Amino acid sequence: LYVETMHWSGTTRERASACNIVSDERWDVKIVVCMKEVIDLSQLRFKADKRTPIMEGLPRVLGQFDKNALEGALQIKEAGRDIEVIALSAGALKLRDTIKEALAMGADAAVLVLDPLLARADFTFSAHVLVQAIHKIGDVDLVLMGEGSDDEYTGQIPARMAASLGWPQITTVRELGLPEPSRVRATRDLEQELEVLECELPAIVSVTSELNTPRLPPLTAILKAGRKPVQEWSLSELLSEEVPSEGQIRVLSNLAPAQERKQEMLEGDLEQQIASLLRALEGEGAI
Amino acid sequence: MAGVLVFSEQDRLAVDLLAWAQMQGDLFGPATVAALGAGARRRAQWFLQYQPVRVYVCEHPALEAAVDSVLARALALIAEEVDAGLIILAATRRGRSIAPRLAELLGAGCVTEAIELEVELVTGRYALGGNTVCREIITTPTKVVAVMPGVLEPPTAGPPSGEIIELELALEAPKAALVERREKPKTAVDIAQSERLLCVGRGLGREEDIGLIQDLAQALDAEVACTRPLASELGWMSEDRMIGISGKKCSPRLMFSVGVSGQVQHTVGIMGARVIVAINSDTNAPIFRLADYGIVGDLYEVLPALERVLRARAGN
Repeated sequence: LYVETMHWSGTTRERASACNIVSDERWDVKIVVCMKEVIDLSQLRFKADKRTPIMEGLPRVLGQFDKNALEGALQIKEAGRDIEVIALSAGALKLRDTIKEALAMGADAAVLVLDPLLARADFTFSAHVLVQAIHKIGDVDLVLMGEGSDDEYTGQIPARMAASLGWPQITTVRELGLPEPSRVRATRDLEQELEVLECELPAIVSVTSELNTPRLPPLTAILKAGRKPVQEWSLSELLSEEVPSEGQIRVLSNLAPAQERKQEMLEGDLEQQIASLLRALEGEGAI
Repeated sequence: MAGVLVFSEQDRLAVDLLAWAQMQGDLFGPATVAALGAGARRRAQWFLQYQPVRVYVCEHPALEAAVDSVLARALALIAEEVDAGLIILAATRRGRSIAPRLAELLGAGCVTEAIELEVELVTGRYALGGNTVCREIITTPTKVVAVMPGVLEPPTAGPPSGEIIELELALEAPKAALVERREKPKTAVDIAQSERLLCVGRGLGREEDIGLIQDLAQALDAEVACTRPLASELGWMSEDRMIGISGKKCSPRLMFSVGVSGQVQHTVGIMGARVIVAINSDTNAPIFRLADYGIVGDLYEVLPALERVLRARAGN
């Protein structure tokens, strides 16, 4: 099923689909959804100082906004066109398990860039790796991803990738469609207004959680996910340069803010809690 | 000579950034502000009352639709023109889209959504779902920072001074075409001005239960607000009642937060509240770390009980 040697020729759209990793036939539209593996923040706990997050041993999941992006791609696919949806992710070996959720949701295939070094790469380098993967996949029409990642939430990846690819970017999108196979129409959610843009593909779109509610895959789909094609690339297969020892940003600290709030948990039964709450609020002159 | 370049598509936010840059004195060099697109010449005149060293003006037709990629390209060209070592933008959603694209074009490091900006350019921003503040510095020679609106002090206007410079920029028409812009619908209430707020989140199970919230709000004499999912995903409330990054920033004297987990996208909007009371069934919900008083419990039990006590109290 795989075409093992995939060389990006430098042009994308004219080329025959040598890199179609699902089947030999030419798909009309190829959508790549960039999905980041993140720690499950609902499990985050802090050390005794109440400020230092304990990052070790947390379960890893796909980013929630990236799942909105995948759901968006699947809905476009299900609108009836001949569309291929590839989940793309870069990270450490654990990704092989994590990405199964995307396959179970309905992605046709996955492309993984696997390297332990990616664990210490900063997000700018990750954007660079993803761009190289987009080149190598080839013939990509539309790249989708969440507006930010659950953990770092820099939101920089879509714009950096778009600049690097020379593609237009449409960020924080809450409505998305392909009116024609070669054209995307997207509604951006800005603070005070909605902005509708259209552009020729290829393009990069980042989505908000308003776009949809990602589907929960049925058990049968989860079981079948392991049989879907997964292409793995190492970093050295993708680029010649080394992972930079220092990123563009140096983190000085990452701690929960020092508490200025009282954080007083009210005790006793409900009646007592309410009574002490109202007493406290009266004391503060808040009521 | 190196300098600071300031830009926001919202002029009001641009002058906050400009004032900060001016306060840094000679540290980053002279502060210039970019006025781009339709009406730029007129807007440049308005900028002069905040005394920038220079206003760079460009009304190139490619800028007319204010498409992010073209704005980023124009700013990259101006940054090179003025040899800017630091480019500051306002972290509106548009600003957060332009800043990293500009940074990529300039080979610059970039921090978005800064909630702190210190003299030595140490930035702070929320990370790990709002549980932490990540303090960091950009190590590249050219730096791009997008600062959250409201973080910096707004300046007062003074006698106009500064130079207006018209630029001819080599810009291509945007690949993305603007179809339309439309204002989001609004209701009469402005929760940003309310003294008391009752904010509800996903802990509310059903739309029918909003009555429970409204009853308590009435007993508290508070306006009802909500987190993003209740408005823009579920549509149970209008989006102008939404608190957070994409909603309002609120500073009530008293805020009740009910069934709100406390994700950063929401909590940045409640930092200005004087007293926060949180009611949530999850002991570990981050909202309790941001609250002055916490009640762990089922909102369907706590709210009616609280309402009864408040009404009894008012009756006395």
